[in-house]
Amino acid sequence: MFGYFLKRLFSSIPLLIGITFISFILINLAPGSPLNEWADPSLSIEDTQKIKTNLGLNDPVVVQYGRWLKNALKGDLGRSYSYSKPVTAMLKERMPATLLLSISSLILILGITLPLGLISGAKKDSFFDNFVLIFSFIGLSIPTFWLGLMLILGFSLKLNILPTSGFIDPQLSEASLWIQLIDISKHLALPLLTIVIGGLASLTRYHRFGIIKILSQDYILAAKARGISKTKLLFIHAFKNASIPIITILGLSLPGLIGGSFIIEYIFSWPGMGQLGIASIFSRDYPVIMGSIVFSSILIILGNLFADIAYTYADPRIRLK
Amino acid sequence: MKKFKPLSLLSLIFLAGLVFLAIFLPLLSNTDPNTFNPDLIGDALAPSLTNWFGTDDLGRDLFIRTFSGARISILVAVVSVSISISIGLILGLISGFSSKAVDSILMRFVDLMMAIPTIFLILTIQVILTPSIWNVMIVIGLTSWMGVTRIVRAEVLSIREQLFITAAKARGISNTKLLFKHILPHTLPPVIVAATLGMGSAILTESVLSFLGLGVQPPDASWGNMLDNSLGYMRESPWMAIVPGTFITLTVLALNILGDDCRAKFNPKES
Amino acid sequence: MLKVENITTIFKTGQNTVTAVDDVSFDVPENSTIGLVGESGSGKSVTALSILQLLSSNGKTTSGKVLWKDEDLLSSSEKSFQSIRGKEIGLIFQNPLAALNPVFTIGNQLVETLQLHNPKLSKLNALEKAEHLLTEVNIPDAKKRLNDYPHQFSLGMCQRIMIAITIAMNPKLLIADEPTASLDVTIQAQILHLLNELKIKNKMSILLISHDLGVIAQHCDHVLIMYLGKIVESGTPLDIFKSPQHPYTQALIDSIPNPDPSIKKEPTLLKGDIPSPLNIPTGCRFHTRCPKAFDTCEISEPPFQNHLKNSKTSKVACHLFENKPK
Repeated sequence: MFGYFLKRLFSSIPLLIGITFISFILINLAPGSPLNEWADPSLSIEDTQKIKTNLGLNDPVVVQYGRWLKNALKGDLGRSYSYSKPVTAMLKERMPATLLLSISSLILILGITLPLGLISGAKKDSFFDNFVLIFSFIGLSIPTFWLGLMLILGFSLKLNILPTSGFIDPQLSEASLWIQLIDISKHLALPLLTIVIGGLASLTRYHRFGIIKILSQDYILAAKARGISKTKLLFIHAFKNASIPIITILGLSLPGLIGGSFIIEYIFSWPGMGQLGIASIFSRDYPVIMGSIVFSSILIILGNLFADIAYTYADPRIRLK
Repeated sequence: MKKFKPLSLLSLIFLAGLVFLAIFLPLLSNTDPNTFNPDLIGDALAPSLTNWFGTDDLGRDLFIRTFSGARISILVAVVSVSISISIGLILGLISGFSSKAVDSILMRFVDLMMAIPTIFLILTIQVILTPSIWNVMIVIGLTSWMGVTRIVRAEVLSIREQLFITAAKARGISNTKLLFKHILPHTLPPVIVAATLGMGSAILTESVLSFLGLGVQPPDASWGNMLDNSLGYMRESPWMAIVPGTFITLTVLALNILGDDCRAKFNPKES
Repeated sequence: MLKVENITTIFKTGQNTVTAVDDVSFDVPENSTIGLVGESGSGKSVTALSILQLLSSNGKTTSGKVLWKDEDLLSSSEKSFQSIRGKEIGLIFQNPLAALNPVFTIGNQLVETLQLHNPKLSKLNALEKAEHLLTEVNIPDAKKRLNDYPHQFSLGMCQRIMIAITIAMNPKLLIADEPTASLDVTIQAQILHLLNELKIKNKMSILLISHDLGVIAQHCDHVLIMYLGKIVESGTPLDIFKSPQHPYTQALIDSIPNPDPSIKKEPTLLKGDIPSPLNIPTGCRFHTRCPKAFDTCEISEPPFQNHLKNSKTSKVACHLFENKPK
């Protein structure tokens, strides 16, 4: 198992290099130089050229990429143009908020999807099933950023029970840890709800479909013929079989979830990497853009890796090959 | 063939109505969607009998603007999906038909593209290029062909192994004819489904871009930039945010329902 | 022991209703093997599923009785049914690999069944018993293999395991639905031999369902021939093979190939295909393909009666025999 893990880890390195290469080329092929935006406008053309040469901005893009990669492998992602801080330090600062949001949403999504899809699939065509189906269709179709806006409109502007944005009330910096935690959860509630509703829909549909397919298999009939009760059939026999594809789907939907949570972070001013990433796109802060791409790609690749391993572990037919 | 489910029929009617109004309403109406009313600036009107969907902060009628925005959404959906389907079909057929080496290079490339959070890439490209509706369509098309490629390739691979293809080969039918007459038609049903669902996600992506100010530029209306515009007026004039968002949701919902029903029809086992 | 009385099972597909089993009756006495023969679509598997009420959700047994030790199973609650399924009546399937849950070890599936009907059994004792059961169905190295998953066994072994799981609770009746149809010929013989051994050892009865008259003839005490949802002939293997009455039975027997090339026989070839169960012919449902059909056959359904002088066990549903004295 460990050997397989290492092998998969190594095989994702070329993937990561490919992603950064494509992103780097795309960003740097663009007309205009970031220097035009960030340099002091009073600089003479000669001076600008000098700075460019010093920064290596006059080299061919591929050479620039090589230099970037060399530094990146050493853990140096460059300095932000707008904050002149090391990109890695900025990302590190933003990491806790992003991890809090994404991990709690992942747990909630799984915790709701698994029983929901199971009951819906087991009671196919019932009132409950139709309700879940319609709900998931709407969840698939609703633009998450708009859903976020509507939640702000309802819970913050009209009902006035939850804050519109941010991570913690700055006035509480002196308050006890307990009060701070309560305030953070209040700020977390709306972005979390938005991501969960968006992510729930497709996963529930897949799970429901998987359960329906499994319930028509011979081994379920055989287990029933042995006198195994319906509840046990559903929660033990069908459940384990149907969880296997869910793991894969979850891995595959990570890019969407992460991409989606970027926008959500932006809307709720959640001080995570997504907000930083989008802000850096607007300010053409290239090193930070590259850093965000690297980081989200690593998250996606790691997520897929874990999904693969969980899948291999859960399905004996693959594990033992 | 099963009959259309009532929900699909409803979706079809909604989409047809939307297309119809999007084409004709801006032509027939004597209100220009982009001209603002100087008397009403800064004072959006709530929905009423004269302004069914209300007006925005510049006194423009939201009913007209919504359907003027629908034009953009429909255009984006159709053009970007045409681009992504064309790329997906061609690469999928190549991948399914060529040697193992070509196939695996193409598929690695697909894996790579799928691992990038596309919305991030699209945003970056949009900032770099001058934001315009045409760039939006091209960028969405160029970043959403991977799924179609996979579907077409899988379809070609499975059909290639089937007995009726071997039988056709045994009858001496040429490879090109085989491809266009026997294999291509089989890949179409899943491609149609992918196209329907793809239009929905193209509309969603366009709305995100325009919402962030990176898509359709004012004064032209798009559902996304109408939402962007509503941000400052959420508390006093919530209809400015509710109307365009509801239209995005309903349109994408209709496309999803239709796509799902098509899938069930083409693939009776899965319904 | 098991008495099936006039059961009719229908399936609803869209607007159509298919009668898959039509007014079928038979007995399974203690310590006997009853064979149920028919082509695909004849309703033999549905008969088995009707007995245990394991029909898919669009299927329903609309009339008749399934008497198990004089209690009608069709009117018993789902709860009391659960204690009969597996404990008193076991069922094995055509494709053994599909009938075993792929994500649980076979030890796990055996222990589950053992503990289900005997909750006091400890895990350790159950494992011991499971190992014993596997040895009994001739799985070598049983103890080690308890930890293996279904896909690690050959098809023949899977069927043995399925048999082991099914006989775990010593059922009084084993329904075997085409148990050997997906296996190689040499393995078929082994499995049938094993079933016969277990039947004697465990004092149980077997309802053996097959499309292969040859398989049935060797192992059964009594044979039922089914065509389009109805039993058309029944009797001992001797009755059926020595003096087949129904033209359909005759055709079935004729179609058994003889490996001896010196024997040349002209098989009775039936006309056309089996009619769709959606569209069952009027009168005798076999008349569309029957080489001996006459006018009456098209109009009225023949009764199912004894016609043979020298046998009390034989019954047939055919107009050809109606006017002959008993």
